[in-house]
Order: sequence, then structure tokens, then C-alpha cells
Amino acid sequence: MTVKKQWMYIAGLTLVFLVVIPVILLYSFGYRLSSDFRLVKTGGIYCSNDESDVSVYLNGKLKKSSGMIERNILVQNIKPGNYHVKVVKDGYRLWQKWIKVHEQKVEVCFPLLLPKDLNPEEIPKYLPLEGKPKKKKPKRELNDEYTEIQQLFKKSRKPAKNIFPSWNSREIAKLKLGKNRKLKEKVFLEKSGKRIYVRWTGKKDRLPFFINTMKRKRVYSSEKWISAFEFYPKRNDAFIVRFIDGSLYAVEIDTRFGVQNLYRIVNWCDSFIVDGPMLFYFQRNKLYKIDFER
Amino acid sequence: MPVSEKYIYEKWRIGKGSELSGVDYLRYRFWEILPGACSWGTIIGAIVASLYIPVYAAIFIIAFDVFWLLKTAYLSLHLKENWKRIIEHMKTDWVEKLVHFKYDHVYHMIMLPFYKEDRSIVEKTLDSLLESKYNHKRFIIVLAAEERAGNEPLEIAAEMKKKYRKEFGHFIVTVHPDGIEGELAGKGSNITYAAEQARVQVLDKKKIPYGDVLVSAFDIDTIVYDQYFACLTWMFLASEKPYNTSFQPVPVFNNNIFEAPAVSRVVAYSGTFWQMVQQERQKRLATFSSHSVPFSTLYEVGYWQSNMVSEDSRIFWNCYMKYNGEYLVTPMAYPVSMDANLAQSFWQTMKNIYRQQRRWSYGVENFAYIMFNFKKNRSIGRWKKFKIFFVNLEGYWSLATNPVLIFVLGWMPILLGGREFNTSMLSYSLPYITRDIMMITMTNLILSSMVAVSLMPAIADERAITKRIYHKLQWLLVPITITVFGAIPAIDAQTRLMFGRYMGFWVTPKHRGNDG
Repeated sequence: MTVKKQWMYIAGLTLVFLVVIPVILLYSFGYRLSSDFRLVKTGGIYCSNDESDVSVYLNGKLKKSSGMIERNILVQNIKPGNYHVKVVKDGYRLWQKWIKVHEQKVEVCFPLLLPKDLNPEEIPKYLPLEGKPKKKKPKRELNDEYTEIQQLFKKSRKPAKNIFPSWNSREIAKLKLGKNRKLKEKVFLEKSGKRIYVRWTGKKDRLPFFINTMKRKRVYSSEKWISAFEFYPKRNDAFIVRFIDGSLYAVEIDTRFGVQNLYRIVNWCDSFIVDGPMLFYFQRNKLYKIDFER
Repeated sequence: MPVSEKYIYEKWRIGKGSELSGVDYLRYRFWEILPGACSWGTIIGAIVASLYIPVYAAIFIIAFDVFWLLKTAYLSLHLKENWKRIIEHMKTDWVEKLVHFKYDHVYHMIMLPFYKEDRSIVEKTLDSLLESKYNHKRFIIVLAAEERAGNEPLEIAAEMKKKYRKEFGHFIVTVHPDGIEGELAGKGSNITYAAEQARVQVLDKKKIPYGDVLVSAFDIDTIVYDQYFACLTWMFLASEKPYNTSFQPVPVFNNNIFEAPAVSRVVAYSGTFWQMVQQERQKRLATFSSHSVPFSTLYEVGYWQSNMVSEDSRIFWNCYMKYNGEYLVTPMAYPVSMDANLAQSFWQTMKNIYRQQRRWSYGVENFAYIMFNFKKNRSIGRWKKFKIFFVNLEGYWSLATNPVLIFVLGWMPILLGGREFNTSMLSYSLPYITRDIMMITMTNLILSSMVAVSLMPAIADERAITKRIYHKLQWLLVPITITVFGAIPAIDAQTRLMFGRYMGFWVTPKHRGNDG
């Protein structure tokens, strides 16, 4: 290649660089061109979803949908102001919130999407009898799954102890975890009568958006007494409460913008536990499970 | 110029800083440390900036991504240009072109250093020389064995001499003695010894003028295409300053390309492409791997340096210093074929690729030599020196840091930027913009894959179409290969040099499958 040609390419590409860089940077900072060709500052909303195939509506208008693979959605080019945000997925309950968008800022939300039909499945205490019924009453065999879950219920009454002490075991001990005090990934929940409080136990610069303060904060108060609560399966930004009347509700911790989504899961149960993605509950002596990863 | 300031090239053929003392030692060490310090400074700087000034770090990353996109486009234009030239040169009948010159006096001394390679590899290389369209009686074959390799290579050498002696004009076997003081065991010391032996045993004995001999320093796996020597001779005779230039072919790694794993192929072809790009930028071109140089020039500069690792590129800088900057590399745009890395197992192949890349990256040792000699040699212009300083430093820095900046450190502002930054539009735009720029950059790989497939030997079997598609898709491995087998070995090599933990010469094991 001739030197002249090389210099031509260098000059051309340098020109492209000088033109493109300010455009990309302005775009990255949230500047957009308005209809009257003025630069305006915009903001965005970021929906961190557990589900794929989700649509986001702003003030009733569809703004963006995620595909089969992508889950999270960034809605850009939003003028500062208040927006009614709806996150919709077929077969799931509606999640909605009022969100205030600031210029050059992104408001992050963590929609709690619950299937409309949770399909609780009963776990029988005994395994079904095999073969022809005999004259004598046969001895029934216990279902291992039932027994294991029963053990989990027993264990849940006592605070869990790790075999190996963790580096922050002192701090954890101070929290006095138990029936009314739960901790998950640095999010500490505490029940006091009809109220649930949250506190961030991690570093300030890691403070999650759904808590937004380092102080103890009330995140839920009810008219009914709360008999028990647990973190929502595989999430630390929501919890499940059981009221004195036996009903189970999923509640999100995020109380920003004055809206808190709350969904009924079960009308009535005696007790419940959460283990990984599973919710188990007893209705009298019948044990049910709901898989939240299904 | 006062006598005390006169530059004596021979005095400053330094291998490493530890050979010097006093101010010279400090000066040499400074230049040895600088490339590694720049690379580490960039990596640490990017992390620290992401932590304390994430906005500026993000701006830098976006600007750098765009710069990289345009740089890749710029290099691709060179690649395309060189590809066209290679195809043209491959089609050219150089023997026919030579008719216009008087060329029968030109001898080719072919240096074939070997260590413990198989007989079949040596044989195949010699066979390819026999297939060359050039008078074989004008070939001086120097099969350069190593004493430290034991008896078997000596037996192979003797056998080869017996078999091929009559086919070539001259055929000598040299055995480089082990443990010569001040030498670093490796290719450089071996071929230097062999070249001197050839001078005494052949050139002086047969009274062949040094100026009529072109020395081709090959690896034992270098297979020449049939018109290589005709092309080289033509370029030598057509050159304006034939004794002030080295000749550089394009190394392609075709010998065992279908047996090597995809990672090895991509790494090998990336090396070829870099050489092709450099061929179009003559002022940045230094000799690499297999190259040719007039014997008289080689003799004047004292052959290859035997006290360092990357003698293949150092010989260019030796000549550059000796001739006070009046020295160039002539890009031949004509290929020679070599072996891609291949070992008995996949992991061994990966290890060998890493080691080979680290050895090549250790070419950074030349930087200290260049800068140190620039200080001593006042005959080279300042502007020329500055350009070489910048081009070299930027080259070593780019190799070690660019892939890391793009594929790893690009995420640092998001990970370390803190809460305030993570709520900004910039933080959320960064991954999307980076991803989009990378996607556009990756389109350059389409050209790379096309060039690679065109340079490969023909795929003969029934599954040719499937294989061709596979050989194109393998280029998706580039983000991994340029990081793992580009940046990391480069950082490794620069760090070793920085701390004075000088590397030795590692011989790449040659292995071919049954077809090889």
C-alpha cells in the first residue's frame, strides 16, 4: 500500500473518529435530539426480570419487549417525569408501579412476576399401594419426599447453624436470626407485630435500589397480624407473609414511588416454608408444594 | 564528531541489561522496564479509574472501543491489499521474470537449524527445496544440528547429507557445540555458528563472493513454494540497495493446518495476518521467523546475536544500527509454509501455543536494544528515532493491553463504579454500546476467514463444503485467542523482562499427523 493511500485512510478514519465520538458519548449520557432539533436530556427505566418474553408499557403504551433469551429490558429516551409502568407477561399477574424518571438517570425496578396459576401439587404422605388389594390391611409405606419436607419444617423452627463459621459470623450472631428475623444476601428482615422492617447489612456502595437507605425502614404494615414470613423463593427483594387468618401473600420490599405490589398465593394454610425455588405448605395434614422456577 | 562519541556498533550488541554496568546498565534497564510498566500502568489505571472516576473510565472505554473498531478496519484494508499482492505474486512466473537479469551468480545459502525434530520433517523440508524452480547447484544447504540434542539428530543429519548431497550444489552439516560461554542456547547461536562454518567451509574454499550469496534463515519446518527462490532473487536484483535490505516472506502455517485444532489454526493465522498487515507498512516491518539477508551484510553485522531469544527480528535492528538507519525490510508478499502448533494432546497443544506466543512476545527485548543504541548512535535522525520509539512502544502496549481493555476491563466501571454511577444512563449504555461496537468490529473477521480459507491448501474430500464453513466459523474464537494467546503471554513476557527474569529460548516441538 502506498504511503499516500495510508495517509488518506488515516485522515478519513480520524475524521470518522472525531465525528462519531461526540455523538456516541452524548447518546450514552442520555442526550437525544428533540423534534425541533434541540438536544434534550433523557433518562431511562431498567427492568431486571426473572422471566423472558416480557413487555414493558409506559403510560399504557408498549415501549419494549424482551425476546425468548433476553430477560432484562432497558427503556431509553424517556423524558423526565412520572410514568405508570406496567410489566406484562402472558399467564402472569400484572406488575405495575409509578416511577419517576430523572434526566441522565436510570431507575431500576425488579418486577415480581407471579404466575396466575401456581399449580400447587400435593405431596402424599404414603406411597400408592401396588398390586391387587389383599384381604389383610397392608402396611402403608411412607413417602420419602414427605418425610424430608416434614424435617425441613422442624428445622425451620430453629435458626440454621453453619458447620463452618463464616467470616462475618459475629455480625450475623448480632442479628439474632430466628422466626421473626431473617437474613438473605445482606438483606435483613424483621417482623414486629403487624409490621415488617428491612435493613441493609452490607456496604453502603452496594446498597440495593429496592432498599435505598442504610437505616432500618418499614416496608410493610398490615391491618391483620402477621403470623410468619420468609424471603420469596430465590429473591431477596420480596417476601412471603402468612397472616393470622392463614392466607399467604407475596410482597415486594421496594416501596419507592408509594406503590407496593402484593399478590395472594394461598387462601389458607397452617404453616409454610421456603426452600430454594420451592414453597411448601400444610393445609391441615395435607402437604402441598409450589415450584416457582417452573 | 569527537572520537569518544563515535558509535561502535560491535560494542553494543547487548542481549540483556545484566551484561552492562553503571549508567549504561540503568539506562538499559529503564528501557527494559518501560513497555511492561506502560502495560501494567494501563491495566491498573483502568481498574483504579473505574473505582474512583467511573464516568471518565467509561468515556475512555467507549472512545477506545471506537478507536479499536477503526484501527481494525484500517488494518483490514492493509490485509486485503496484501492478500491481493500475495495472489498476484503467486500467479507470477518469477523464473520468467528473472530472464531480464543476469542471475546465475546468485547463490542461496539455506540455514536449517534443527533440534530434535523427526526425520520426516527434515526430509520434507529438503524435498520442498528440491522442488524449487531454481538451479539447485546454486543452493548451499546448511543443516545445523545442536550438540546438546544428543546423537539421534546427528545421525539424521548424516543420513540427510548422504541422501541429498548430490542434489544440491553444497550440503554441509554443522554441529553447534554446547555450552559456549556468553551464548544463549537457541536458534540464534546455532545459525550464527553454522553461518560462520559455511563461510569457512564453502564460501572461502570455493571463492564465492559474499555479496553473491543470499542467506535464508529458515526453521526446520519451513516449506518453500516452488518459486520462492526465483522471487527472492528477482527482488534482490531489482532492489535499489540490495545490501541494505532483508527480505521477508509471509509465514503461513499450512503444513499441518487440517490436523491442528481450531484454536491453534486461529492463533497461527492471526500471526500470518499480522505479518501480512506489516508487509503493507514497510517502515514498521522488521524481520520475523523465516527471512533472507545478503551474506555480505550478515557477515558485516557479525551474524545473528547469540546472546538473546528473538534473533530473527534483532538481526534487522543490528543491521539498522550498523548502517545508521539506512536499512529496510523488503516485503516479499510471497508465502512460506510452516507448522501450526500441534502436540499429542489438546492441552499440550494449548500449552505449546502459549509458550510460543510468549517467546514471540518476548521480542519486546528488542525495544531496550533499539532505544539504548539510539542514544549511542547519533547518526540516525531524531524524528526517525522518535517514530520508531512510538511505533514499537505502541505495538507492545497494544498487544498486551488492547484485548484486555476491550473484553475484560470494559466491564470494570459497572462492577466497581459504585451506586451513583450505576444509576446513570452512561452506566446502562456502556454494555450496549460496547456490544454493538464489538459486533461491528467482528464483521472484519469475515474478511479474515475468507483470506485464511484462500491461503489454505485445497480441501480435497467430500466434506469440503462443511469443512470450509467450519474453517470460517472458527474465527468466532478470536476474542478468546487474542486475550488468552495474545495479551496474556505478552503481559507475561513484558513482566519477566521488567523484573529482569530473562527468558531462555524455548524450541517449539514440531508434530504432524500421519498425513503431514
